[in-house]
Amino acid sequence: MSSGSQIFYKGAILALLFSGIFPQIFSQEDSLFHLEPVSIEASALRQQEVGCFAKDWRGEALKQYSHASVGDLLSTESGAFIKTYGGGSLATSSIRGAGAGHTNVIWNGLPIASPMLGQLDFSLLPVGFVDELQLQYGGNTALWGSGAIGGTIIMNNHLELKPSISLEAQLIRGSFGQKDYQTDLQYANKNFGLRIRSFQQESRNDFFYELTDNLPLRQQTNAYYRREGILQEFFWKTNSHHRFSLHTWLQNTYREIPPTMVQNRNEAFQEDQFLRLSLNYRGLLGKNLLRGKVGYFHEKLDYQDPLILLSSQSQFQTILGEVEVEREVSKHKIVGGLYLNHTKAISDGYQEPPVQNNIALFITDRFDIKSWNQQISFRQEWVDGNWVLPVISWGTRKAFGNWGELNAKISRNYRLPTLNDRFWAPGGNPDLKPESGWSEEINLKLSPFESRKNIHYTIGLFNRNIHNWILWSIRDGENFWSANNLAKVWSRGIEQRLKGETDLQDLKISLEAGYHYTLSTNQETIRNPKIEAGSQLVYVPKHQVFGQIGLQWKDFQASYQYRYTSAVNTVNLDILPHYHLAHLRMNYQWESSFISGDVSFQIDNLWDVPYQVVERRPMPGRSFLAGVSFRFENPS
Amino acid sequence: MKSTITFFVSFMLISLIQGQTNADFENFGLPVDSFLNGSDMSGGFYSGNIFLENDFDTMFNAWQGWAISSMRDTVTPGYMNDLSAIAGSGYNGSTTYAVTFANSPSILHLTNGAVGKAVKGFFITNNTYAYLSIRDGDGFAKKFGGVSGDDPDYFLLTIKKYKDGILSQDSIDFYLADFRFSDNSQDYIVKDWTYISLESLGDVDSLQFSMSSTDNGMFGMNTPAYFCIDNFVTRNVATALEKGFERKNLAVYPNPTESIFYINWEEPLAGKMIITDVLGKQIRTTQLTSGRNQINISSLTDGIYTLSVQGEKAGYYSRIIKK
Repeated sequence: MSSGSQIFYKGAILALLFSGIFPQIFSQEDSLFHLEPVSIEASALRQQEVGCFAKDWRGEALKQYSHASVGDLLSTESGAFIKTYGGGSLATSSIRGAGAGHTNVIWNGLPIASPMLGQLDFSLLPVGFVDELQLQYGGNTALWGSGAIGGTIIMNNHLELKPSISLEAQLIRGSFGQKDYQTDLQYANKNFGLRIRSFQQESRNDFFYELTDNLPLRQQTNAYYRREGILQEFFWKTNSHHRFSLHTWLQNTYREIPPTMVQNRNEAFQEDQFLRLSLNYRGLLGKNLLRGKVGYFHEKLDYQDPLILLSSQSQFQTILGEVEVEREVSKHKIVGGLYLNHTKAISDGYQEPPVQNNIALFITDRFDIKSWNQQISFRQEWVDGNWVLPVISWGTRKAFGNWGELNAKISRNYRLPTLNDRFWAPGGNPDLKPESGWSEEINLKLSPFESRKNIHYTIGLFNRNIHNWILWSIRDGENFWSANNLAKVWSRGIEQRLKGETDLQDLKISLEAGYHYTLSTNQETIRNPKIEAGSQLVYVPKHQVFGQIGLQWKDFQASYQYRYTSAVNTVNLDILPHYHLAHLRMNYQWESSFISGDVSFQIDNLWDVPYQVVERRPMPGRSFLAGVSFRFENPS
Repeated sequence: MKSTITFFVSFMLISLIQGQTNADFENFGLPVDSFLNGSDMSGGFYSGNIFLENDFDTMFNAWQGWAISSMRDTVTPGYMNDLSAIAGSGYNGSTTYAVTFANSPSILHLTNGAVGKAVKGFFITNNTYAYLSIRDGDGFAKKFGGVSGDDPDYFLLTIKKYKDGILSQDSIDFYLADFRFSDNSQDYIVKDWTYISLESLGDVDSLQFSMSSTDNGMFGMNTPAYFCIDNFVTRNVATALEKGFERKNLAVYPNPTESIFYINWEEPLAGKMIITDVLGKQIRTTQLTSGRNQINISSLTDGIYTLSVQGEKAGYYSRIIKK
């Protein structure tokens, strides 16, 4: 083991020990106070911003994806386009026609995207480690910082401090050698809680796929992956005024890189390791509600390709913190905060390990003008002492009785250049400007049947212009690729949702459907890379339809999910055809006094559709998953 | 070994008799499995009566243009092995050959008595990186033929000449790989040294080598734009008759420059300086007089240019960076 790995593992073990010992030190019960299990990561002013269109997943909605990644969930249910290279492989996002670096991902209040790439691999985020997932559509830099242009994904962890102890174990077997083991141990009294979750997944992933109609199927090779992770959390409520939580997330992923459909073989593989540690606090100080969090993230990527004799290692360490104060002044609810970030990265691609320091101040104010809710937010950031352009957002909301609600928002947003954009050799450009632009959106939510309020229809429009979009390109007079502020991109679209539920005696029926139309076009012609003005961005589908029908009869549940993705442009100037996908899931739950359980069966790609999300990267046909879980609970 | 020596001696004698010069790159004396990629900042390589430009970027540790190689690796795919010929040696088992990365067109300059005269031809083969990428595909490029083997793919080298600063429209096409045959068994990727005659081009000052492929993306050609050459034979007054003709690098300063640069021309007679862009297109012609010459290039767009100066007894080359 290299010295770097030793440091990594020592740090991880220390972190785990620390978070394990902590509850024993403070395990004194205080029966005088009780706190509701509410979020301590961020203010409602940030998570439920006026004018912002958002979708949340909790409880059962998350549990059915417990074996899957956040990327799988989002691609099925959110209308976000997840660009996945295949099972277990890299998965990045495009929300509202933006790029992979235009999604900010927040874990327990802190951004976790790689500062080297400015994006996150969604295949490395297990849903089983998330208690609350939210997707905020649209620009939100003023509240969440750099990168929140297409959308913001917020992942939180909670534990209800209700005296109990429980253990849950889940076992899943599936096609292509998929195995998935998960455990979840929870202990809580009125003041303290400890939760330890772990998972291990592996799959040969050696599915057969179709090359052409008249050729035999080809079996995927070099596609094995294995992931294992542990999330250990400690929750501590000192009294009704102060609450702490400590989260330690350690994960390791080994995955082989399969050949493309036009490649005979590949032997490359990569290993991703990360440690994410965050300490969160929420407390009342007089009339102020104070939230604070500090985090330490250490991520390593080791890429090896024995065939071409390539070995590439990179890693970064980030220490970051944020404090926010919330209080009411007159009829204004105000949150102000300070964000700090110190990042250091090491890679073969840097001549010197870059170090970057960010400081940001933000403030948001929610108030009413007559019956219109208003929220104005502002953020000013400095990078290595240099001013970044200030950003502002304004949102408004108006409720019309029980039948309707109008939301609108306008915001200025930016994305800072990544460390690779600035310092990679060759081609890094330290003088890059941030990508920036304005976003506007409006949406109307209707509940047309007052007596049946569980039917909702939402229609929204959005518009966004981004300037100084960073592209790696060959400039006139140069003969190498470099990062430049080249592109201007105009994105606009329509989003529609329909959601309803009804009961037919013991049978509950739920329906959810959505349609997103997205135009995201380059506004200028660029020679190299070859981009035509007016062309749709690569890997941004114009049409996406998604929906699911759910049935629940007593302890039996079934759901049918459908997704349509229209054709997309690709980097090889080809058009990747559209595809329809469907998934079927059934499960049966039972419960007795101390034990409950769940048996599930799932068919993915039900109609065995050959398709590619990324060109030349085949996706599996019909596959099966069967799972069983047991939960032992002893309330005390 | 003995037969090889006999061959070369015979070849050189024939060349001298016929007024030909063979650029075989053996003059660099490379041991096997080594290369010259311009990291010595020489700016290029002379062999026979040709000059091959090289642009080495110290910051990025990367080369453009041409390199000289004796690498023999025919099995390792990928860009880490971009200096090997798939034939495993130079032409006819010789040690040394030249490699070019022609993502943008590569230029080969004739020198000395070969300038302005017809060119006989040269031997060519695929670079190992390109060959294995075409055969097997890689993370960026497709294997030729595609998933079915029926895609009509090709990897094409197009050779054009410059004469008196004008790029001719006439060209010679050579397929380094051709999968356009209806019978897939006829599909081929060049693996051996293959001769290309250039005599149809007529009189030549320099040659432009452009590459194209059927596998392209928004970032350009996916097929690795490399090939290797050896035994480039020019038709000229034999070098034996040109005793005293020197080949030097031109002293240019300041370099890079925003507008003005100077050349100290030490020859007693006037020289003719030609500035060409990276595509080999002639941008400007200037007469140099003995002494210090001031050249203003403020009107040129920023970029890298080649200076070639032909004197009575010497040829000079250099790069100038306008920024």
